[in-house]
Amino acid sequence: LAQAVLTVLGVMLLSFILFNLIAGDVSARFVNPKLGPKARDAWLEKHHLNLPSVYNPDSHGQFWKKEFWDTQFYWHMRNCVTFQSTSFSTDQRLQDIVAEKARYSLSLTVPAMILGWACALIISSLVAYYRGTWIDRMGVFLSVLGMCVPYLAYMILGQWVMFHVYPPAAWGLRYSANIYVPVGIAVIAGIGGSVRFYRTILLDEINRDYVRTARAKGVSLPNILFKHVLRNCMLPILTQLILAIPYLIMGALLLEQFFGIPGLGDLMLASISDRDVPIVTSLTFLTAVIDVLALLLTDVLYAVFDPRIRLR
Amino acid sequence: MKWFYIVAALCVVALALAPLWLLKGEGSDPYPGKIVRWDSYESEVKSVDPATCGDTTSAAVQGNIYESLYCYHYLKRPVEVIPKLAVDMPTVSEDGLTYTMRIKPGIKYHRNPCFGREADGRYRTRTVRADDFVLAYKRCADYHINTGLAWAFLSERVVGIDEFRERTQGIPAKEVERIARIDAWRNSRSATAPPAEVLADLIGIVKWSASLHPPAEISKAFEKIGAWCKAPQGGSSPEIADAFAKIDAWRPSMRGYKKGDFSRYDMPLEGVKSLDELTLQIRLTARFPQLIYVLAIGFDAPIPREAVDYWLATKDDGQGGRVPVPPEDVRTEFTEAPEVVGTGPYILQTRERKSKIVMVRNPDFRLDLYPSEGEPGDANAGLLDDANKPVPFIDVIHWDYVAQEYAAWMRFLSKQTDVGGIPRETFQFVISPTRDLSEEWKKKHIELSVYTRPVIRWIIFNMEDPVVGKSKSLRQALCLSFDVENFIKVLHNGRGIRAVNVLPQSFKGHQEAGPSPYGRLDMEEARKKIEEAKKELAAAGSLVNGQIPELKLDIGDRGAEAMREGDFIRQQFQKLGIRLKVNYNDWPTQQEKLNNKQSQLAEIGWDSDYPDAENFLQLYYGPNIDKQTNNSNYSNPEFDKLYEQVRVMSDTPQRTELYAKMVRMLSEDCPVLLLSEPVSFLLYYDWVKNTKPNPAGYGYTKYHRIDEAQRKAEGGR
Repeated sequence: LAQAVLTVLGVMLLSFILFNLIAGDVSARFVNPKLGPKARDAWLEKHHLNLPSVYNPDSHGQFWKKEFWDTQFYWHMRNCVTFQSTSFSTDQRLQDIVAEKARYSLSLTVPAMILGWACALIISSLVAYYRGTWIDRMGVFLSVLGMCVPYLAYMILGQWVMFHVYPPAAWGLRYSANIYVPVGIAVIAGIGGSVRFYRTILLDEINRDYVRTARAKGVSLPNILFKHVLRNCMLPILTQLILAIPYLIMGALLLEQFFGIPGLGDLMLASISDRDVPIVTSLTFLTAVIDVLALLLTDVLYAVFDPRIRLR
Repeated sequence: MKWFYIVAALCVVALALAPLWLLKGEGSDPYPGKIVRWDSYESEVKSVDPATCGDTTSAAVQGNIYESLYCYHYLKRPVEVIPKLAVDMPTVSEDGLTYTMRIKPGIKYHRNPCFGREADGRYRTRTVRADDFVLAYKRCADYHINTGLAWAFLSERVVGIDEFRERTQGIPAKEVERIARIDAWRNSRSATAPPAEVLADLIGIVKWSASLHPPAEISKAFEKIGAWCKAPQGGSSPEIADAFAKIDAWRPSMRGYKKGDFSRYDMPLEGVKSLDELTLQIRLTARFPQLIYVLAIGFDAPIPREAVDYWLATKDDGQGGRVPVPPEDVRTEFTEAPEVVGTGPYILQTRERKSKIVMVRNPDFRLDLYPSEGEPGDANAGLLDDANKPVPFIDVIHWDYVAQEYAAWMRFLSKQTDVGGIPRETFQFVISPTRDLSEEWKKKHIELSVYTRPVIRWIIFNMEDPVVGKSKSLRQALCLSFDVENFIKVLHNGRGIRAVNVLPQSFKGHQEAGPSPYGRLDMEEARKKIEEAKKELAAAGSLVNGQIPELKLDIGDRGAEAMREGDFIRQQFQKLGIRLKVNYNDWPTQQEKLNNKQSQLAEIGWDSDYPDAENFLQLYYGPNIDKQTNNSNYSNPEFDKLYEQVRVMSDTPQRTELYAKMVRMLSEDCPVLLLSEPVSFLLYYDWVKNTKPNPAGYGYTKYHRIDEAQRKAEGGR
């Protein structure tokens, strides 16, 4: 836990150095130069950029005084932790942006992840069980084929088909079920790689003695796969799944743009190109926090699925 | 384990179906019984407040919601300013410094909570008063509002507006506390040396005072106190007492307004006054004949004080009342749909950032008629069929944010939108070499509108650069060797015409000045010029090993198109043996480089604010180098003198002749390499009537009409 806290603090410090100190004065991008130096000063003051970077000499090192904390780094930390960062370009607070748009991103990424995971698991279990047969060969061939086709091609083709079959579902959210078009594309585009990965893991288990014994005892296929094999394969599968969670909230840039989903997909990219420092640093912090929490969760779940693992 | 799988399966199903619960679709007919115009937009709507409007997408939205005193005639070309909320054109005093405008009586605002409720529960409205225009000007001058475009037209031009802005500045709480502590020390025991805490306050205040940009005398007084702080004695020594006295005398004018203190709008603005309820007067510091165009831009749309007090100064207390907004949450700009209170034909119903904009018909809109006159050919094109009919014709304007050009194009082709642009990749299939619509597309009930906006794209030469700034012949040679026609054809699908001088072809002065002698492709002449350039640069000591050094070009884009442009430009320079390094920047970086004079060459352009040559010529006025509008850093005393003469002249043949003279000077000096005047192509289905793009103004959707029966018959949405 202490390591997790240190990691998060490290990210906070690094993002401050990278974006606040190295990026320099970004006021020219947000204040019309024609408005003169006073407008620039007002803007700097509004965003606490007129303050000393890390140490305020006015405080004479007396940390119990308010002045000591009146620094850019203090405001950076405070805004990160409280999610009160305000966008330079739109004056919106990050929490408002996330509250407004996260549900769209999550509506796209969560079903895509969960359906992709479930489908990949079922398909890979089957191809692994029937290893060496035409089912396995066909499964591997389709997986590799699916991995070879670029993601963008799935999107363009999928949208083109939808525009010709049923245009109202090809773009936007006129009906909430429209979301399943990009979800479907994400599942299809990602399933090849997942099937290959899970198949490899499952094969290691399926060739074990206990599976042969179970077969010899006449245990049914679903029981062998889901009761014994899958449980023993859970650790790498869970690791992959949980580590994907932090990225769910950030959305899927291309899918959102192509299908008119007003999510958070382009927030990070647009903020970087706009030099919208508070949003970039806060999103970095948010991702770091979720990432660390996901790793902690993975450690806990390891213990649940594998009784041999215990916290010392 | 069995239960684990059951629960897991249920979770999978629940999470997969969650979007159906989380998302709310619009449904097949979100506006039953209404005539809807469906459209796409690709750039974010940055502002819904007239004071901060500075981009074309925001202006296009605001044009439907807000109205200003004047606007451009919808059909007449060249564009002509006509009254909108004003009764007639302004009365201008003989000295050209005072503009008096009468406002139409009975213009109503959109119904809004800020006006309270009627007995029947509907929100109330009220009529527009001259005071509301005064407030609009005050907001444009407000220190706490990041006014983009508006301030550039008003500063130093309207009497007292800069002083008003000064006075709206606030004093930070920290500094107020410091001042209080210093005052306490001075009132109690200033005869003794200040304690360490007060000394720190004094040093801090001296440092902070620089940001106030006080008069020189006060600056000196602060400096004196700063110096005294290094070896402080009692504050009653005559020298320091004198400095404090001077600052004390100045302090009342330092009184500022905090961001959330909207009582600053109660201060008078000397140059903008309401003479009576319906008469507005603007006084200028110097003649500015282009003011009439500025009044048609839209930033001066009337704003009711009630909207400021209701939406910005207070917030809902959760019990039906209003409480003051806490200082940390204070906003000075209207940003959300319910806060937008205009007088226009449409009310902003929905503003979802990077998602959608919905505007619905204003039921209280006054009687406004479709124009009965246009330019020759308008009647034959059916543009006068609805003459004298009340507008608007459309009930709802629905815009979807479509970031991908391909998706926008497919939406148009599948008739999900009524209007669309043409992606670069498909341009040659849609538009014939004669710039007409291909037959195949005409059969799809699509029509085409081709128009130019007064925009010129160019490559600027930094005139302060030791290489390109020192050699006129080098600049001329580069202009002569550049194949602009191919640039337009290859890189822009032929969507442009060659710019032959620094004015757009529709502006007065363009024809009179004639084409630049260097605005043509002539390699032989270019080679001669390059030899002359070498001599000039040798004299200036700017040659490297006897050769012209590698030049550097900045482009404000990092996309594939910018890369193609960079390659093309490099090839053009290579024809003269000149090496070129192209730097691809994001737009803010490009702007920063220009402002700091760090670019040697930069590809940019100018989208005119109003249809007058002065708007282009000011880009070369020497004193505008400091204002960062003269990006080429061109400085020519003769040109500057002429500019100072023409900028106060009314529209006369003499002024046009002077414009032409100035353009010819620029053509000779070549501070820019002229590229193109872009030509825009707009596609729309034939059920959209009265479509005529306006090159200068916004807010003309009220004149568009949609034939619903035709749209349905042809398979439209």
